[in-house]
Amino acid sequence: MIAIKIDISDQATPVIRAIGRAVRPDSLNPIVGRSAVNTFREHLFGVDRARPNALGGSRTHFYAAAARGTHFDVLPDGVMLSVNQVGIRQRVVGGTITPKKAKYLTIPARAEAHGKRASEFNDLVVVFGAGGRPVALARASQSLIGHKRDKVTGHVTGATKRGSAGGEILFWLRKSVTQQADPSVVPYMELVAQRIGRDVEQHINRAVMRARTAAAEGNS
Amino acid sequence: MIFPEPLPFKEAIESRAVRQILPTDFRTKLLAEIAPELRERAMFSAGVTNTEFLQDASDKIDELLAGTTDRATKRAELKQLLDRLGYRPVEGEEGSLTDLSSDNRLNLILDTNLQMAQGYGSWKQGQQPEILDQWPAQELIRVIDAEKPRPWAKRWSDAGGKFPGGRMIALKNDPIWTRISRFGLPYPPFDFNSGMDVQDVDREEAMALELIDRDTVIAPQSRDFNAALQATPEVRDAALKEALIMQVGTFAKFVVGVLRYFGAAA
Repeated sequence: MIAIKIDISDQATPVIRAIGRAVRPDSLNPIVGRSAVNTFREHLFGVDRARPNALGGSRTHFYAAAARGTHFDVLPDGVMLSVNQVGIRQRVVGGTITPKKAKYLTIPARAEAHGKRASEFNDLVVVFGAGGRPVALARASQSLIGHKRDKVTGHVTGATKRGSAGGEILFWLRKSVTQQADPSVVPYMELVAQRIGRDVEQHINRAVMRARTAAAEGNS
Repeated sequence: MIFPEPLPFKEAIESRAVRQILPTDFRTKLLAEIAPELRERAMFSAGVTNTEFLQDASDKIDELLAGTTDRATKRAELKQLLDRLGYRPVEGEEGSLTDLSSDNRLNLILDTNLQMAQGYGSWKQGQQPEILDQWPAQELIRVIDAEKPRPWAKRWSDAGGKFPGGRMIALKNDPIWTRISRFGLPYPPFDFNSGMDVQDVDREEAMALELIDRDTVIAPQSRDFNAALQATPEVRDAALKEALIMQVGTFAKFVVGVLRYFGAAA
């Protein structure tokens, strides 16, 4: 057997050195992280524009907030992307939610309840269903009373019922809610990987071209 | 792979950590007289002199930043705090932006501060040399539709911005970003309740738009938070107060820890 051993460590061309520098983790990780963040932000802002609240009313812009809360962190073994928005994981993977502190979950029933807590309304009453089970929170009913006046003296002589207000159900009460997974709220991993690949390629190509230019200038 | 807990947004947390509670009776217009570098180091809200409210709001913004709670929960808690503090809006101003207990005002406080921290965090990450090299420019884009959109193209143009490819794009460290900001800061939000944000533009596209060549290196910028972060909160507080008095001392002074307005503003 003929063995050939060639030491190329000191013979590496500037281009190879540049590639080596470009693919070092401290150089590559920020590119990978930012690329993924950009893809997530773009997608989440798009989802926000495409999906208004199902109940209507003023929007909370949940997905835009998720886009703004997206960032990356470089860890010892790679890059981690994080979407800091409570509820985003639940939307992606779905599952059953149960109340943590209260007895019931409050599910908005009308547009005016969307994005609000029941405690923000000061006129809610519990609506009981069959068997005395609490089923909803509704605005307290009020009777609107008008005054009956004497036509001559103008003095109040009695009262008349002029109608009623309230009674609308604002929140449904539930012991638990099961949501379907919706992976489409975040970009497909194939797209994220494709964008990362494109950005890393640009980063390496630029390093190569710069090294070639520098080498050519050095030789001239 | 999806993990149950979000990671801390370290750069955004930095921008929260340097902020000192600043009770003040300054209204929005007067607050704009304070240098952006000082405002960036203070947690305040127009006309709010109650330290407990500001501290509580600040803590809640930190929780929102961590992604462990939602705005409605925090807003409801702030309303409960205001109730306990005996807060009452001025008669006739209930529900308006001057009513501290209104949804609009509380949302504004939570959203603006949260978005400032996130905007700074994203900006700071974008200042890493490798990222700045790959994405040296950014575009001002609308991400949330507005009923009455502000004329951003005019603001951009008035601030000296160009429209390469018909878009509002500039290098990340171009002074245009500070000029279009109501808050004088280079990162979003650029105004109250703004639906505008920024999107990275990579070098290839920036080269095609003739904003930069292949080899120009852009020097990263910094907001100089490091010294402040190393100091104790007491030292930071004293430094902020001293700097504020240096700047607005001709028409304002601290009275029992509250920055109060006296006389005509500059």
